[in-house]
Amino acid sequence: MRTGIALRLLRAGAMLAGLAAGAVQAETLGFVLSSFTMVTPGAGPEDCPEGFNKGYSERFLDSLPASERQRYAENQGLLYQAQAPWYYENPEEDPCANPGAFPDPGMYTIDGPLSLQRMEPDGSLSQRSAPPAQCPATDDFTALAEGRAIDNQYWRVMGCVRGYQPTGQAAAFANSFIFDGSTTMLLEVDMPENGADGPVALRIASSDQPVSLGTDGQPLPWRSFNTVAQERFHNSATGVREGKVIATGPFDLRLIRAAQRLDSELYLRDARLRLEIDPDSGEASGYLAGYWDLEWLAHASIRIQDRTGRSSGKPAADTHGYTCPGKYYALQRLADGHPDPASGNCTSISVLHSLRAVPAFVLDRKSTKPEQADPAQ
Amino acid sequence: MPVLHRVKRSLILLGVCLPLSQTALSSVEASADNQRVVGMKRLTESQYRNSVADIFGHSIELYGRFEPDYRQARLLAVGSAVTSVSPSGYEQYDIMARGIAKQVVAEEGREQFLSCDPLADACIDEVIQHYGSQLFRRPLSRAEQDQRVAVAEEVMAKGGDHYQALEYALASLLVSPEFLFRVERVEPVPEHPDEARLTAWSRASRLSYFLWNSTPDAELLAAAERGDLYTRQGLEAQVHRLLESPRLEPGMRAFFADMLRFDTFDELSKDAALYPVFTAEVAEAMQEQTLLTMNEHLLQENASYRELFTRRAMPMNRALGMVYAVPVQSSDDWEPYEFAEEGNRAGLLSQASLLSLRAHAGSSSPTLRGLYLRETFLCQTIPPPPADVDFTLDEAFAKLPTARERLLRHRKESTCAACHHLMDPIGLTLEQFDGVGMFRTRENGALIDTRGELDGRQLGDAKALGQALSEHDGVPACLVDTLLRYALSAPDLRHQRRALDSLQQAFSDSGYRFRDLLWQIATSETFYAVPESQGASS
Repeated sequence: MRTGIALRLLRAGAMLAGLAAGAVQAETLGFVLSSFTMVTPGAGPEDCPEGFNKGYSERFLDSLPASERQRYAENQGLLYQAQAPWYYENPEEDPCANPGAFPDPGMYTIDGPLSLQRMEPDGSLSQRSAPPAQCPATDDFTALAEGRAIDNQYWRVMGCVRGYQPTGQAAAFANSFIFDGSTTMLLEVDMPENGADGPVALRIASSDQPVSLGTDGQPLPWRSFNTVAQERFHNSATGVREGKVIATGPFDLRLIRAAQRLDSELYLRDARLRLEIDPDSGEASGYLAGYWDLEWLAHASIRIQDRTGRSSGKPAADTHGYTCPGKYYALQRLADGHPDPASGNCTSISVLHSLRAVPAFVLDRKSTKPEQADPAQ
Repeated sequence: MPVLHRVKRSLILLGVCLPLSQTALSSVEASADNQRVVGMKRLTESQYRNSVADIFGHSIELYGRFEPDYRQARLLAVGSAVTSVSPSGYEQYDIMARGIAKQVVAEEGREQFLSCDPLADACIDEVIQHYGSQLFRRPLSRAEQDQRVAVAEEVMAKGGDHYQALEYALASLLVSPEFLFRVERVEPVPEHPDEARLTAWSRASRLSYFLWNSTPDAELLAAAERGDLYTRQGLEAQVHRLLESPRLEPGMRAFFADMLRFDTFDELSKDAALYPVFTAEVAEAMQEQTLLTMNEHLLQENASYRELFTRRAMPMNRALGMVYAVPVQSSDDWEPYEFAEEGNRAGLLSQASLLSLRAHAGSSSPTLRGLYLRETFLCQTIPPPPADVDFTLDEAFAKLPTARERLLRHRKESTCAACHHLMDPIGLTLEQFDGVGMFRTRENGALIDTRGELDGRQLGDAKALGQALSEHDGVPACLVDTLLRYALSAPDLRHQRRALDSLQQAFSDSGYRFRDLLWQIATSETFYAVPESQGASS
């Protein structure tokens, strides 16, 4: 399927250069994502009646008699020490490496009707008020896959977490994984000829080559990237271009998701992409909705494991303000995708990302390594 | 200023700086014998670095700052013949000399750098002789040798060990004007004692720094010692060897960089918001791309110099791929790239290095580009703007969307037009390249008009300019002038008119092959001639 792509891209190079200058004809457009963030609109005044969740430190302080509390609250070092260990030698003892083995301490989630952005089957975004989605029956999920709107149920899980509010840690470090070179995501779009509406083919792949940052601190356009060799990080989708908007049908997406202490994968199932390309700048923006596989979600967002298997989950949970088992069980409760035929429990949860991308050259690299994919490893 | 005056001024400056310079002073005068100093050319930074690397090896690190090189008559190489050393500059040379000497005698380097044990008899003498002849590019005189031995003995008398003694002796060689300058001497011609000729050692240095931008190697020094460089056959054998050496390419990079004024890249800055792509990596790659192009075209392919202005192939790397908006397969290396025939770029003038170098921090500049092109590729001189020019008038024009419109004033004001008509119409053909050389078709939303003119020839765009230059007789003539000026470090070639004519004819006859021109110059009598004012013996 990928034969000749590199050659085609070389041909497209001149046309891509022309795009920036205002031309609209192009065969294949390449991009590198310059921004990729979860849509976390912030909790409304009614959304979290019990307040925000608390992390390990806050819970510890709450457990102390008032006379003791002040001593720890005023001394971060002492507080930190009291919560040790933050990193566990034995994963069995780590509430973040093995959250399912610990009791549910509870987690406040947004459980009432919520007006949140969701992606409709045609790729448009709607924002009607609705109660939490329920885990559907297996047959229903499969049968309605083509016509179902994709919620952002993950926001319901994280909506009452301080670190996920617009001024929280998550926003402060948004895209740092792109800027520091940990994660590079590439996108190619085969456009209809002559700028016409019609079917489009898309490829989304990971690269292990970092973006180049300009003197303004932003990823530079027109850099060349090789895709990674592992085929599982090469994803394809088909869609339609109508006017300025490209919308895809459902596709499964696997990408490398790495950050400072994280070496994981983003695995979205039945994802949909909505993209708009600015003909003047050649830049793209849009949304990616889909169902985040709970096992990979836990790997990337609860266990937060690096290549050695070490978990940074506990300090992360404490920074944001939640507990790992609390999040784990909340995810199980609010999961709304891909019900397991045997248990009937949902194995994925809907999520919505916004993205921006700058023009880039996407070059192939042949597969040289055996495939490995096991979130439990 | 007469050469000997300059020598004297240099040495006086050196003499007041550091004790070692007393040795230095005497070393230049010591070898007077039947020879006379007729020229001193301060090593440029790159020549100093190359010389140290060639003598001691590339592992030697330099600690210290170089004084800025001085550009005269378009070239740093020319400036090197009129520059001296300031007290602070000499202090830096001293720091570097001590650092080099320390590394040479350091325990980990001894096996590599020392051929004998300094504790053994005559070893210090031997090492001084060995390195001295390489650093001075000629054998040391007995007096020079004795002075260094005396330095070593003084160190030991004060409690230093043999290695420290050697270290100081080596350092004294490294701060000598005989090393810091290319000291050129003449001697009487044996058959005609009233006539002078450049000594064989001076010939070897001239040749080596011209072609390799570094010190003569052992073989060239040996040829000088045998007197080969006085014979046509011997000289040609050495020139041939130097031209065929892989060291020619790095040597010629120095010429290309000097000619194109790449030293000014160090002070080039661009608006970070307008040109985010202009990172340090990109700026370095821009220079490298042009130097690689010239090496490839002029040396490896030995193609016509004229075709350099229409060549569509150029090396590319990923950093530059972002400037040219082209894909680059290799993630960490250079690879060939050829722009399409119908594309927007061709020739040296469309390379980002030249386009960036002659532009403002926040915009392109047809004037600066036109000026650069006239000076660099046509060897023409454009006078600076008159002192009473009223820049405030430009504000009314500044709001206009394109450079062509903004420069309208230059054409309307007669005092401006006289010179600007020589620059602006050339630069306007390059306006589809912004301040860092990225392609564009609009400026501030308005379509860019790239029509221009060069010496009466109407041009449609940058490619037409490249074509016009490739056909312009002034372009190869200018290269000959610049290369001879570079080879001789001569600010004035008025006395070389006949030689220039002859070289230009030979260049033309060769099909404008750069290698042939190098050969012509390196084997010419002009190249080894005694400077006009120094010819007669005195």
